[in-house]
Amino acid sequence: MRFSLTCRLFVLAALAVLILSVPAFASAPAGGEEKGGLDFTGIKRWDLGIYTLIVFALLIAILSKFAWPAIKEGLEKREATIIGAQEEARRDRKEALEALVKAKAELDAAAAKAKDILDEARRDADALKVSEREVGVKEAAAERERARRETETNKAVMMKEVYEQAVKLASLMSEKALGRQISSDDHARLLDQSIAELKGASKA
Amino acid sequence: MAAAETISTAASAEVKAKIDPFAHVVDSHHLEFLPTAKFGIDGLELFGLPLKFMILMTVSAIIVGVSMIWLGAKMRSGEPPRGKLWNLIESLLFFVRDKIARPGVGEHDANTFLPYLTTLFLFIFVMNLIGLIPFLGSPTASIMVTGALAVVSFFVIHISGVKSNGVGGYLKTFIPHIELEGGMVMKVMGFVITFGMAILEYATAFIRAGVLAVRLFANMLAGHTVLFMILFFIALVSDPAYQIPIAKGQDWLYWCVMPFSVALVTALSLLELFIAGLQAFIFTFLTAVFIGLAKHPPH
Repeated sequence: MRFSLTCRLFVLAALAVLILSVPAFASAPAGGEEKGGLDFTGIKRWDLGIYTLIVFALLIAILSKFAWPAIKEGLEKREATIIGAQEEARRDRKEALEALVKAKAELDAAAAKAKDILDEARRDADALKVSEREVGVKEAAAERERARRETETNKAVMMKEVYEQAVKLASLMSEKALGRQISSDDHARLLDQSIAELKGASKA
Repeated sequence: MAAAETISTAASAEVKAKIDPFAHVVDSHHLEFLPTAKFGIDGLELFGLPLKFMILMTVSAIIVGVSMIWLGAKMRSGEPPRGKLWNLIESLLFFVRDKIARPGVGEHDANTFLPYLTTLFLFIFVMNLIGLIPFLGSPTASIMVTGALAVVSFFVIHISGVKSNGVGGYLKTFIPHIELEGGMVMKVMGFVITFGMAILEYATAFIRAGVLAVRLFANMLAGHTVLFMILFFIALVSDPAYQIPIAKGQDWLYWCVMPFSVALVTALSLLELFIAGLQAFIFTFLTAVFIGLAKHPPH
C-alpha cells in the first residue's frame, strides 16, 4: 500500500501532536472522584448508561425480530396493492377513453344518419306536399267540373220544367182564346212550336 | 452558643436540601406522589443504586416495543389503517420515514436506517412524554441516558460511513482540500491549515455525538426544573419550613402566587409537550443527517 507524501506528513504531524500532548494528559487530575456541582446531571451514573444501552439494544433486537419484518411485509403488500390499483385505474381510464372515442364515433354516425333521415323525411314531405297539392288541385278542378255539370243539368231540367209550364200555360190561354178544347195532337204541335220559339228566343 | 449555631446550620442545610430544584427531576430511590402527605413509593434501589429512571426507561421501551409489534401485526395484512390508534402509530412511523430518514439519509438508503431511526425517535419521545406525567420523571434528563443513545448513534454513523467508503476512504473524508498557490512557504502554510482543520474535523465527529447528548439532556432537565420551580413558589410562600422573610405572616401571598404558578405551569407544560416531540425529532434528525454525511461525504 503506497501513501502520498502529504498523507505521510499528515500522519507524522498527528503523532507529534499526540506525543506532545502526553505530558498534559499525565498531569491532569483524575476526575470523577470528587463530588462536584454537576452531580445533578447524573454524570457518574455509568450503571444507568449501561442499562440504557442494554434496554435500547434489546428493543432494537426485539423489534427487528417481531415488528419490522411484519411492517416491511405489510408495506410491500400495500405498495403492491397501490401499484395494482394504479395500473387498474390506468387500464380502466384507457378503456374508458377508448369507449368514449367509440361512443363519440357512434354518436357522430347516428347524428349523420339522423340527419339523412331528416333530410329524406323533409324531401318526402316536400314531395308529398307537392303531390298532395296537385291532387287537391285536380280534385278541386274535378269537383268544379262536376258542380258545373250538375248546374248545367239542373238548369236544363229547370228550363224543361219552365218550358212545360209555359206550354201548359200557353195551351190554357189558347183554349180560352179559341173557346174550344184543343186535341192532344194540337196540343203537342203547339207545344213543340212554343218550345222551339222559346229556345229560339232564349238563344237570341 | 455553639450548640445553637450547630442546630441553625443543620436546619439551614435541611431547608437548602428541600429547596434543591433538581431533587425532583433527577433519578432517585423513591416516587413522591403527595410529599406533604408522605405518600409515595420508597426503596426503588438495587445495590444502593436508584432505579426510578431504569423503571421508567423500561416502561418506555415496553410501550414502544408493544406498540410497534402491534402495528406490525396490524400492517402485515397490507390493509389500509383503521382506527385512531393504528393511524396514530402509523403516522409516527411515516413521519420518521418522510420527515427524518428520507431528507436526512437520502431516498436510497432511508429504508435501511428506518428501523433504527424509528426506534430511536419513539424511545426518546416516550421517555420525554413520561416525564410530563406528574410525580414521574424523564430518564432523558440524565446525561448518561442521552449519552448512551448518542454513543449508539455515533457507532451507527461512523460504521455506515466506513461501510460505504472503506476505512481509509472514510478517514480521508475528514481532511479538507486546501490548495494554496505560491512557493514553499505557501505550501507549508496550506499543509498546516489542512492539518489543523482535519484535527477539528476529527474532533467534530466526537463533538457531534456529545452535542446530541447534551442538547437532549439539557432541554429535558431544564424544562422539568423550570416546571418544578414555578410550582415550588407556592410551597415557598405557604410552607413555614422554608422561612422566607417576605412570606412570614403574609397568608394573602399564597392566593396571589398559587393561581399564577398553576396557570404558568399549565402553559409551560403544553410547551414541554411540544419540546418532548421536538427534542426527539432533533436528536433523530441530526443522527439521520450525520449518517447521510458519513455515507455521502461532501466533496
